[in-house]
Amino acid sequence: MSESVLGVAPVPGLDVTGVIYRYTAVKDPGDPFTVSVQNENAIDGGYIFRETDDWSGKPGQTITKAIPTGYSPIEFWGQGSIETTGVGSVEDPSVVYTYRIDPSAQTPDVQLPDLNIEVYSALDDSAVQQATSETDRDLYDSEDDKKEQSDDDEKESLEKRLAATDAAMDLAKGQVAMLQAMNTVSMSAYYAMSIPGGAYNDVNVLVDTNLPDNKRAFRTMANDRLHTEMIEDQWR
Amino acid sequence: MKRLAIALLITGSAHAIDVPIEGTVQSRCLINTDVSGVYGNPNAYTLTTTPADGGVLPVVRYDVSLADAYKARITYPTAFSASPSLSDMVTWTGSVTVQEVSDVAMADYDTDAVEYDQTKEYDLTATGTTWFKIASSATYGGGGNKAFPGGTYRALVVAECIAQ
Repeated sequence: MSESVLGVAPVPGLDVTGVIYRYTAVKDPGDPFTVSVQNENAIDGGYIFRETDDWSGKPGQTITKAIPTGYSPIEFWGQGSIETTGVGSVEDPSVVYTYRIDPSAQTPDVQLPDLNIEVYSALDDSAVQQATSETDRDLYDSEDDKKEQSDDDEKESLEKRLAATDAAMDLAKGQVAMLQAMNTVSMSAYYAMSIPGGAYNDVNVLVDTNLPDNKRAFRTMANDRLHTEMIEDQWR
Repeated sequence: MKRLAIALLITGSAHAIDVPIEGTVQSRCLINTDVSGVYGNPNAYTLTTTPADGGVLPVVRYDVSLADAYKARITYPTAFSASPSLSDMVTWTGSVTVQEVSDVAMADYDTDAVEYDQTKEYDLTATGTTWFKIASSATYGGGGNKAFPGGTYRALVVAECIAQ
């Protein structure tokens, strides 16, 4: 089978596993008509695959068939064709072959180049050696240099602090001016207001009368006391 | 005497267990929706699945692994399952046909089918796959060509596989 038919190059280990075909048979129901979808056997002759649909006495119809072929080596698959007999025609035919590639039958044809890989050792790296070498003491500042630099730094710091104080004072003055400008509401009108007051005398007077004792409450309390005594008696 | 009576009661009681019998029936007729239908709206008063009018024909697939055992019963819709409120009559038409087969023996399914009301019944006499396409049209206004109210319309095709 050619690559243009198969869709892939006929590599070794490629087996055809099935054929899926589809076509529409156009015919009158009374007419004899057969359609054969087939592939020649390229090695032994005859056909490696042949499926015949007999449409005789049946109306035309679109048919889709999937025929498994087992693992049939691609070398056996020759020219494919759709053959008809009788009265009728085939429209919109489509034949698809399913396949698998057996990896065990593949012969590696790609020779790996002799890779001369240089092994990198970090300990031989000049940058690493320089970084891990003994520190040169001359690179550090001496104590005298440090003191001189410290005096200069202190003087400079004092100047910075004084400048910051002046800036803060200026800012405070500006804020006072802003508050004064915002405080334009006159409060004197509120201070001059007087709320009318007076004396509010009691209107309702409850006259004392004879309030009877709550006898039910007394009885309840007596019962409670008796109950309490009984409970306490248990612990005596 | 009392103890004896109890002992007799125990030994004389019926001893029974339930023995389960289980079985699994594997479905030999499968129905699958291959294509969902779409209603086109060629004019204000018609909804149709005809491709020329912007519709899509729904396609139902029957997979049968046992010949002469099932019937395919397909009913095209005669009502909307979802639609805006309709105050007028809707006239329904439709059809069911075999679109594709996987065996020549299925080629005369359409000619052998029985049709009644909005239903078409097929004897599934061969094993394999059969694709059925269903057409459906709805016209509003009872011949008065009244415009369908705006909204979403949905109708259902009922596809059944019935054991013979």
